[in-house]
Amino acid sequence: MLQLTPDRTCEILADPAFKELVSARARLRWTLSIVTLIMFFGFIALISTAQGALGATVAGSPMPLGLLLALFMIVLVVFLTGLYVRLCNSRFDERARALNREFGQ
Amino acid sequence: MRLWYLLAAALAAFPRTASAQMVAATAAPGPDWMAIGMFAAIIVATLVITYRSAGSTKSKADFYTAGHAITPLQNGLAIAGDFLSAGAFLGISALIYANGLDGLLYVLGFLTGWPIVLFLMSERMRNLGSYTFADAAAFRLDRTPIRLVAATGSLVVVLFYLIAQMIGAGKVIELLFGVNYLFAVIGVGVLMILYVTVGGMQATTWVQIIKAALLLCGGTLLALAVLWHFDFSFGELFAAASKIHPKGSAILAPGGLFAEPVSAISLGLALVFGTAGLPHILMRFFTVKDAAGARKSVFYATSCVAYFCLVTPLLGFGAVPILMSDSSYFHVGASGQFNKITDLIGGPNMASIHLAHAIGGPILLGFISAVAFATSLAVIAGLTLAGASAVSHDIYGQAIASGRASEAREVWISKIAAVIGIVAVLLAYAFENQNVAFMAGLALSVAASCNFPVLAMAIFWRGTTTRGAVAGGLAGLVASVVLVVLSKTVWVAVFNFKAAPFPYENPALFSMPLAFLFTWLFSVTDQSARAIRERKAFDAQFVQSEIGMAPATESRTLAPAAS
Repeated sequence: MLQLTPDRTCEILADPAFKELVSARARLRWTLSIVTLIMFFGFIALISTAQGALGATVAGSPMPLGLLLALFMIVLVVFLTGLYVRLCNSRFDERARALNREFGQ
Repeated sequence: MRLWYLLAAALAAFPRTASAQMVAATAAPGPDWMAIGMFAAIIVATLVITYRSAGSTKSKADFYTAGHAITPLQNGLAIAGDFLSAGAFLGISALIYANGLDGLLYVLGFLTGWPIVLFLMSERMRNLGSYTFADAAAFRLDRTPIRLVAATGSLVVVLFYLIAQMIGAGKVIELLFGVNYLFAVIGVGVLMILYVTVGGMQATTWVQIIKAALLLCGGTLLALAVLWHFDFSFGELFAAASKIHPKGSAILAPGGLFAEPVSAISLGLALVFGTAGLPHILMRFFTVKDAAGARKSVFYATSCVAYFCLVTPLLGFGAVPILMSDSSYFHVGASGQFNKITDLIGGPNMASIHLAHAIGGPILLGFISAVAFATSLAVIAGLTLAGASAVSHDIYGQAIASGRASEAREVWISKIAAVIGIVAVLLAYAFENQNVAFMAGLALSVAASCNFPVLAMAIFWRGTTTRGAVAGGLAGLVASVVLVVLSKTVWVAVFNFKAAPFPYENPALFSMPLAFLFTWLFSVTDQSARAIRERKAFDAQFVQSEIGMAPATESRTLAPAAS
């Protein structure tokens, strides 16, 4: 198990592989979070500004635009979570495990 | 012997169920043997599981986290079961039934919390903690004050959520079976105490898995029946719905309820960040082996919730043309007139239940009622377990006994769940005829304004100190409770004052930033030796949260307070 003495912690923090892993994962985490939040609060903004447009039916579809957008967002949320889990569990966890082993003795 | 005791308790919980059937002819689709049989089947199945789990629930890790041995798929289903309350199932379809597309904002809010939980919380929680979210919050901070704040936030959330759920469950049972409300609430209370104290996390998890499966199947069945009714044509469904609904085609446009952006944003914040601060949800991340498992569970849970979000609007919209054209589902006035929304028997919340009867007769009615019942039970069990662990692990084990309490003693204290259950039953009885619509909203607001800021600041910001986290958590907690009391839902609806001093229904837009502001302010001005030590300890916490790979035991002794 990882024993984090102050020296060991400094050593890990300075490790290039660790730095790269952390910044890549942080980029992914914050990008996806911001996309999700913009999507949701953007939808709220649309509701209060463009009610008429959201209620209009889309040509060739029986559903109003607002419902279609909502359905699209539901699918997108599942896609985004799936993407994050996939990237983390395959690529990032592999590197995290390697670092854990390297510093874990 | 023990099994017999459990069964006897269950039977005592539902006295007069059968005989009540004869007298309760007042509600339109009356109770029937089908529903009673299914209720009984669910109760027996969950009690058998509880009995079997009792054997394997010995240690602290077994009790709180089922020995960290739940698989991601099981945990994902259990999370969905924990999260999708009867309020979500009956309430959202009712909202869509009454208002049309406006209900979608709730649906999306419920769902959008999940990616946030995944990206920001799940892996760090798992890498830093063992039993409750306070483990992660207190990782490098002073354990006693942080745990007390986290436990207080958890208990407030749990209690309000629990009361709202219990009243809902009691009402459903009362309406369906004509059982006296008090007996219904006591019955639910007895069941939840049994699940949690006897079966711990293992039994609670299985109750939630069964419920999630039932809910998804029941929803699918109802949705398919609605679509079949309209020859699988969405066009026909929407045309029929807007033709008969009192609001006409306005139900196909959002806006009526949420035209005012401040309320909508505030509600949205509470839904999204409240989810990331619900103690019974965060606790579920510790039931899996590692961070990868925690992430996978969130993905499965999100998929279930998303599927539920796709299905529920169909039920709400489908109920409009199917129910509104049939006066037997309404209280019809002397003149033969009835309000198509408020006069629905049992209120709009019963729309899905009536829908089941309308398209599937007594068999589907029985099944869907049983699903609604199982739904309440699972959420209630999860909440009680989270409340019990806040008391026994955070308050007793860590704050009072400073982590030196013996395992057996801590598990023994967790039987406090029984007390939580009794308090919830009493409150649910006392509040029976009060307007409790604010309670679930308040629970989410407190989760978003106390639990979430404390946790997020402690794990993401180096500068956070104990003083800052405590000040921020308390500020968020007090602000959200006070603002809810001053808002229309309590000030006017409960206290009967004329005008509410706080003009919005949901406080999150104000209380959540306040919590972050206080955390920041009281942290940067904190120059004590402890604060300096805590900022320094962030490095170790950061490494642990990134590559720590889930300490499965509690042999971790990083917290500066412990050294």
